[in-house]
Amino acid sequence: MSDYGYTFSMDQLWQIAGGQIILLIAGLLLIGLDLAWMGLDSERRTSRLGWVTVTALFAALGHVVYREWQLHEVVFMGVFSMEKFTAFLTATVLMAGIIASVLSLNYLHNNGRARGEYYILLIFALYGTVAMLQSVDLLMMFICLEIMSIGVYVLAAYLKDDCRSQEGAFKYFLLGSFGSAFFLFGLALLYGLTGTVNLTDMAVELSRGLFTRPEVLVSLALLMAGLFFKMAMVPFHMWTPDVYEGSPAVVTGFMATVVKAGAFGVFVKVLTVAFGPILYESGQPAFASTFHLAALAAYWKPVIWWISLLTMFIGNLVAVSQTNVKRMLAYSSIAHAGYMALGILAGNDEGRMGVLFYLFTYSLMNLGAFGVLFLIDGKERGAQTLEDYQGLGYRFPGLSFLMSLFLVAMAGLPPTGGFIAKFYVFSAAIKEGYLLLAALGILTSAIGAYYYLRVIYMLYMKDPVREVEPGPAAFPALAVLIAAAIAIIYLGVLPEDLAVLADTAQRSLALVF
Amino acid sequence: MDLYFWIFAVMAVAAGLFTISSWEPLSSALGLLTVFIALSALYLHLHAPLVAIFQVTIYAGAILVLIVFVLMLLVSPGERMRAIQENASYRVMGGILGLSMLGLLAAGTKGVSDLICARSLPQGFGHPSGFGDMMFREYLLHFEVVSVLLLVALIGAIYLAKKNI
Repeated sequence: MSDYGYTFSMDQLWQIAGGQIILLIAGLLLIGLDLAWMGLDSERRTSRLGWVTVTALFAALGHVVYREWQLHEVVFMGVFSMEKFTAFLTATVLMAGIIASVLSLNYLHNNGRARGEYYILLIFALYGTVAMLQSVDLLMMFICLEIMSIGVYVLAAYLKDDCRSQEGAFKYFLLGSFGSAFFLFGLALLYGLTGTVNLTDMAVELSRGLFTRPEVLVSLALLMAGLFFKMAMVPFHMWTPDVYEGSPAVVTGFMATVVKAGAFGVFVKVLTVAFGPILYESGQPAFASTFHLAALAAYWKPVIWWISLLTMFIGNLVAVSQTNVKRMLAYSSIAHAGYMALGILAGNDEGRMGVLFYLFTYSLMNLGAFGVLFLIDGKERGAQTLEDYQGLGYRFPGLSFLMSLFLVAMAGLPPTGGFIAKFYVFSAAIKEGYLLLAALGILTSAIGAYYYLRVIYMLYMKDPVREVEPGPAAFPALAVLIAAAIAIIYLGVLPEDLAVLADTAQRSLALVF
Repeated sequence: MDLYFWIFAVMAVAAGLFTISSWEPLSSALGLLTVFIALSALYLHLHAPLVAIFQVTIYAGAILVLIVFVLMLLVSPGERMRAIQENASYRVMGGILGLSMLGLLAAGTKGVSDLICARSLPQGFGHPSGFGDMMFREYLLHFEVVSVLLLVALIGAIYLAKKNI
């Protein structure tokens, strides 16, 4: 299948991979600017670097969204693609990146830990995520996964004099490397079997009879294990609570949204393109044989069934017993991954659309919640327990209202986007006949409502026990949080627009060649 | 049964287990060296002499030497070293390592491919020029992106390791 008649074309590179090129240039520029502005004090320098980051992210987002509509060819050298599925996820990730960087400006100021490296690592981690989402090539996926991971490992350890930040980051590093090794093993095995790392070529090779061999299942299992580590699915979730609690709050939000969206996007891509019959739907004669890959579903579906169930249950049940709000949100993010896995399990158009919709709304509400959390916190680990939250509702009505809204959205209550997102994935699962799993999932969602609403109860119906001093909230951070809140309500009331976009996006998966 | 493969495969796995189970950092490092040597022997077996050479020069030659240097700086060679020197199992290990090194050299000069079985491989397989061709044609983008990976790792390592930053 190695018909690599590709020629390198600068124009095509810019058309297809322009978003990541902008991020890469911005990252290199930041390194230079950090040096050039040595004269300024670190606070001012970092905030300037932060605004450069935000500008670059907006430019990349604009490029991705604008170029997407006039692309004729979507694959560059058989490595990067920019079909609508990738464009949707890239836009989600960049949006989360913009929110995170604006919040970071405020966070670094509140904690007095402004360093230029923060934004350099942040933008490179985003570069890795975007490039990973764009890859249609397992080897490139792995390299980009590592770029993203290394950036995030260091960001997790950003608070250098804080033991928990260090501990969490070290756990993340060890377990994350372990997870990446699984991915690499799976990739090596598949390359040995098929002789290619390109997803479409691999699908064709596999469907010509190779897919009946047990090695294919082993390699699929290894790839899945590697990605489940990043997605924080049970039983690969052990690192999540410590890392999410230890990391700086904004970085936690970044990890919980950008890294998760990246891993989910790649997982859907690998599973549907290389191990699924979706290319058959494109109607091209070259891909006719990929029809046979549907047989593999009998093997991976039960696995995802159980993993999804365990993730929903363990995430929600353990979250109930947490007294630290940040740790509670960590368990809640595990649970959310379980709901998203339902959409993947369904494996139909609606399921994939649900996953995309879920990732988008989840990014908004999760980053929003962590944004309010660090504002209430003042300095990291200043006020994170449920006790600290008692009675804040009347002293800080704005922040408390925002927090309540984000939590209500996470609980999946009706007027918010969180409800619609859950609705889509559950209905997709029910359509495919997973009634029991859907029922159990809704049950866990009820458990989830308990601990989300408990925070709101603490905020409004308890008397304060301790003086809490939130940090100063600057206008940009508040503006971003309010925008996220409005978007969540908008998506709860008028979800059609985004749903249609997500549906078009997932349909384009059949066109990756 | 492919005896050559099994010897070095078992050696690699056993040395790997020894590396992670040993309490003495220096013997761990030597275990790691054994893994590298065994792997390079396996690469030779796979008709990939260039990768085998890289494995020996970069991993065994550069990285491991660095590790051992750092260990020697940290561990003061005194009575503890004497105990290691007199340990019988380490002597056996060292003997095996030395012998397999010799065997490897012998096999390398004879040409492993002729020793085991003749395979029909594409013209120029494992040749450095073919390697470079592949690296800069099919895997050009991968090659470029890896440099970003190294850059990120470098920035991260400097940030974490430097005290006043």
